[in-house]
Amino acid sequence: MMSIPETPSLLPIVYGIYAIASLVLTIVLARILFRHGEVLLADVFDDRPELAKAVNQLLVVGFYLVNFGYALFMLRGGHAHDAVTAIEALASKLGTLLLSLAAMHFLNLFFFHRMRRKARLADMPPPVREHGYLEGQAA
Amino acid sequence: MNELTVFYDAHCPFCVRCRDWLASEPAHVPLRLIDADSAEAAGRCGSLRGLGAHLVVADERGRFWMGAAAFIVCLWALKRFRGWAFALTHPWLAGLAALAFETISAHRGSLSLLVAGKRCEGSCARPSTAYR
Repeated sequence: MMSIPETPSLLPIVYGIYAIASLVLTIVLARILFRHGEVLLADVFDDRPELAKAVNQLLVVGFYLVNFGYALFMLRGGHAHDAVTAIEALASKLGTLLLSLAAMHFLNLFFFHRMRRKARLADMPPPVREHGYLEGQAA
Repeated sequence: MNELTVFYDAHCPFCVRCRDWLASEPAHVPLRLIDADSAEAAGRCGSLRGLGAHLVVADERGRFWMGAAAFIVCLWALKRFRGWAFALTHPWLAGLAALAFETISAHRGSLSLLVAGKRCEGSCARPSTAYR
């Protein structure tokens, strides 16, 4: 009987690809967020452009922190003794990362939307029609 | 709009409570709170039917709102509640909000007894006149 030779774990390769992929993804997404978030924030703080810039920078810093922290956190466990399990491990890790990025992205968009709506509210007319004009005061 | 005048029922302790709350809230549009039974109210509103029985709000151009709509305009004028004014006029909520306001308005005599321990001085029981 021949014993099955000990195959080297493919986990280091999986982790390497995962690290590079999450790094690239985070940077690319943060840049997109930064570029397009600026447009939205400029609309919210149209009287104070420097505030829009500051908020945008802070949001992107927060995005980097959460993503890198989460990506590092995900870098554990998993088995990869052959190519198939290696690909599975990589896919499940990247999939979880992408889904959480998507959740964060939509949360971000929601906050932008809310901020914009709040800013718009300040110069909106009353939502109900007047019942008429007081006598002698019709404008 | 530069100013809103709110004509409230000063004979009704519950309404006076509401007036105090309105006066304490930061506003987008300054609110002037005037007794609906005063000479100034009579001078501005003339023979407006329902004044005193219903909440009335007027702007400096003479546009006026009554009842639930007047309450919505009050909310709209307040910094913290402008969002509520739009939420409560959404088609899904508008009817319910107006009904709630009318119910509270119609029972402000009992509410006065509840919140201030005092009855209205007569006028709260005034039958309501249609304004729509």
